[in-house]
Amino acid sequence: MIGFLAFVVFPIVYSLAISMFQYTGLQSAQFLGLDNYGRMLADPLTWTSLGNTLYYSAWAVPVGLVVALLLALAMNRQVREVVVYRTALYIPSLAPIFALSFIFIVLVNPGTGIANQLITLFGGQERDLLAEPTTAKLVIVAMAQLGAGNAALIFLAGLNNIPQTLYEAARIDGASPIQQFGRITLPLLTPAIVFNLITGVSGGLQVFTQAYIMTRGGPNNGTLFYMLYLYRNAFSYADLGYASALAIGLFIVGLALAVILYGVSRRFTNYEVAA
Amino acid sequence: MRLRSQLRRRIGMTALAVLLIAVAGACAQARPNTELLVWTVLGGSVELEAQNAVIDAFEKENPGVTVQLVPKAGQFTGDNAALIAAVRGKQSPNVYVIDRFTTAQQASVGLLSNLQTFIDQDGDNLRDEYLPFAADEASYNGDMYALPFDTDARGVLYNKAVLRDAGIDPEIMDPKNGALTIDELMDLGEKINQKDKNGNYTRMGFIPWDGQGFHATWALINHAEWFDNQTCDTTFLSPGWKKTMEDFQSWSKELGYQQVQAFIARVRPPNQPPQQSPLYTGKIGMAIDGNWSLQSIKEYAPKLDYGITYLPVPKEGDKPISWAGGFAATMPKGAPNQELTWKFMKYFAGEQGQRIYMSNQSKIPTWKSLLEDPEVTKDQGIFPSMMADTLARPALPVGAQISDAMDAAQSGVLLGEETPEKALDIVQARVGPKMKQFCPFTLGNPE
Repeated sequence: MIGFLAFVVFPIVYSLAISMFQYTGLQSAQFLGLDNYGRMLADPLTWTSLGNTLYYSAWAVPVGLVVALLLALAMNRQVREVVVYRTALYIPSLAPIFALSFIFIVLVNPGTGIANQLITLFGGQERDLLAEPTTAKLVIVAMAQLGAGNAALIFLAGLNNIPQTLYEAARIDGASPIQQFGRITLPLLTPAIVFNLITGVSGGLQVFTQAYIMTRGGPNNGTLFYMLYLYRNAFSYADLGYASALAIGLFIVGLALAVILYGVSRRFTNYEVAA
Repeated sequence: MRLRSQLRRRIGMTALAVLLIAVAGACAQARPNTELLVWTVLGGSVELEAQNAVIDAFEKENPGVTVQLVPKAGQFTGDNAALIAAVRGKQSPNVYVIDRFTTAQQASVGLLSNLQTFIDQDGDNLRDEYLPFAADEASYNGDMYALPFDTDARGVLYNKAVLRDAGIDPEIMDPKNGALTIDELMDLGEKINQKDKNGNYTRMGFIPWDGQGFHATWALINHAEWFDNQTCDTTFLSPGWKKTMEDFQSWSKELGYQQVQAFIARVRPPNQPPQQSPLYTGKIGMAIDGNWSLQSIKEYAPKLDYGITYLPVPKEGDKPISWAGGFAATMPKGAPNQELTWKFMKYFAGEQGQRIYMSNQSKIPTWKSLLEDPEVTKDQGIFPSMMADTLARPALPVGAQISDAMDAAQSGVLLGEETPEKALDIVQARVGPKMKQFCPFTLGNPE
C-alpha cells in the first residue's frame, strides 16, 4: 500500500499539480492555471505525435496479436523438442529495444540490409526506409513484432487451459482443424486476447526508444511519438510543466481507450471454460 | 491490535529504508575538496584524449588536485536529461562541457551558474580575450555563462581526383578564385553525378542537404534573420529563410530526394569505418564540411588529393562567409567547490588549456592571441583565416526548439510534404510564442 502510494499515486498527483505551472524544475514555479492544457490542445505537434502513436498502435497491436498467437500455437506443438522451440521463439522478446533498434538500422539500410535486397529483387528502386515518414513508422511497427513472445506466453497459458475433451468431442463430430480453431480455440482464448489487447495498446501508447534511437522523431515529425515529444519538452526544453500536462493528456487517452476496449470486449469475451 | 502492530512495523521498515537511501545519497554527494568532476559532450576518442591532456597539465600544476572526465552526450540538441537530474538531485558535476550554441537555452532555464560574478571578482576583462562571436554565444542577457573552449569553420571540401574524372579542372575550386555561386556549385555537382541502369546513384557530385549542409548553414549563407531585437520576436518568415527553403524544394526535385537518401544510406552505412568515408573513396565529389575533418583525413586518408574552398555565395561577387560553432565549459547550478572549479575552468578554456587541446587536433582556438600562432592552427588550410568573417548561430534561449522545428521544416520541404511558406509558418508558430516568454531579451552583448 505504501509502495502504491509512493510510486503510483504520488507521481500522478505531483504531475497533475506541476502541469498547472510554468516549471523548469530548477527555478521557482509560476502558476498558470489551465494554460498548459490550452496550449497542449492548440499545439499541432500534440496532435501530430498523438496521431503517430495511434497509427503505430493501430498497426503494431493487431499484427502483434496475430504474430503472438501464431508463436503460441507453434510453442504448443506436441513434439519432443518443444522446449527448444519455446526458447528460440521467446528469445527475441528478451533483447533490449535499444539493441534491436541498432540491428534494424542495419537491416533496413540500402547497403547492408536485406530489406532493400528484397525490394530490388521484386523490381523496386532502393529506398532509405527511415527517410520517409510512412515507411519509417512501418519499420518500427515491424520491429515491435520481435517482442511478441511475451504476449505469446499469455496465449500459451490460455491454450493450456482449454480442456482437451472439447477437441476430442469435436474430432468425433468430424470437425476439421480449422473448424476446431474457429469454434473452440479462438472463443476460449478471448480473455487472453483482451488482456493482450489492452496491455498492447497501453505499451503502444508509450512507444519511445525505437524512434529515439533510429529516427529521432523524423523525418518531418513522421515518427515523433507522443512520449518522444513529451521527453523533448521535459529534457531538451526543460518545460516540465507543459510536459506534465502532456503526460496527463496521455493518461486520459490511455484510460479512455482501455475503458472502450474493455466495454466492447465484454460482448464477445468468453470466461466460462477458460477460467 | 496485531494488525496495527504489523502496520507500525511496516511503516518503521519503510522509514528505515528511506533513511538508508538518504544517507547513501548524502555519502555519494560528498566529493573531496581536491576532486573535480567534469562531464563532456566531446566524447570522441581523440577529443577525450586531448581533454585528458589538458587535465593532466592542470593536475601537474596543482598537486593534490584530481579531475575526473566523464563523457555525456544526449540524442537531441540541448538534451539535458542527465544534467537536470544531477542538478535536481544536488549531484552536479563541477564542469559541464557543452555545445556552445545551447548555452543561452540552458542558462535561461536555470541550469547553469552565472560566471559573470567570478569574472567581475577577478577584475580581468576575460570576455575580451575571446573571439567576440564565441563570447556572445557563451552569454545570456549580456552575462557570460560559459567559457568558449574551441571553435570551427565551414567550407567546401572536394576530391580533386573525382573532379578530374568528371572532366572538371579542380583549379576552378581554388579559393584564390573566390567563392563559387550556389548555382555554379550545383552545376559542377551535376557533371559528377552518375547513375546505374536502374536509376540508382552510384556517384554524386554535391548533396546540398548532406552533412553540414543543413538549414542553419544555408540560412547564414542567405543572410537570413533569426531575431528582431526591437520586437523581441523570431523572424523565420524573412526573405533569407524563404530562399533557403525554396532552394531545398528545387534541389529535392532536381536530384530526386528519395534516390539521394538511398544513396547516402548506402555509401554511409551504420558503423562505417572512417577510411570508407564517401568523400575519401570518391563516391561523393564535394561536401560542405568543417576543419575538424582534416584531422580525420590526415589519419585515415593521408593520400587523398583534396582541396578546401569557401562556402558558396548567393550571387557572383558576394563576400564569402563561414559559420562557427564549438564547445564551451560551464559550471552547472549547485556545483560544489566553486573556487577550485573556477580555477580549473579558466585553465581549461584559457590560453594554456586551449594550446594543449589544439596540439593534436584540427580545431581552432577561441582565445584570440592563439589564433595568431601558426603552431596552434597549423595544417588547417584556409579555415583559420575564415575567423575574420565568420558568423555564428544567434544564441537564443529557444535554440533547441529552433533546431528541432527547422529539422522538421527542412525534411518536410525535401519530402515535398510542405511548401516553403507553410514550413516556415509552422516554425514561426511553434517557436515565436515560446520566445515571447523570455522577453524582454536582447541578442548579443549589450555593451
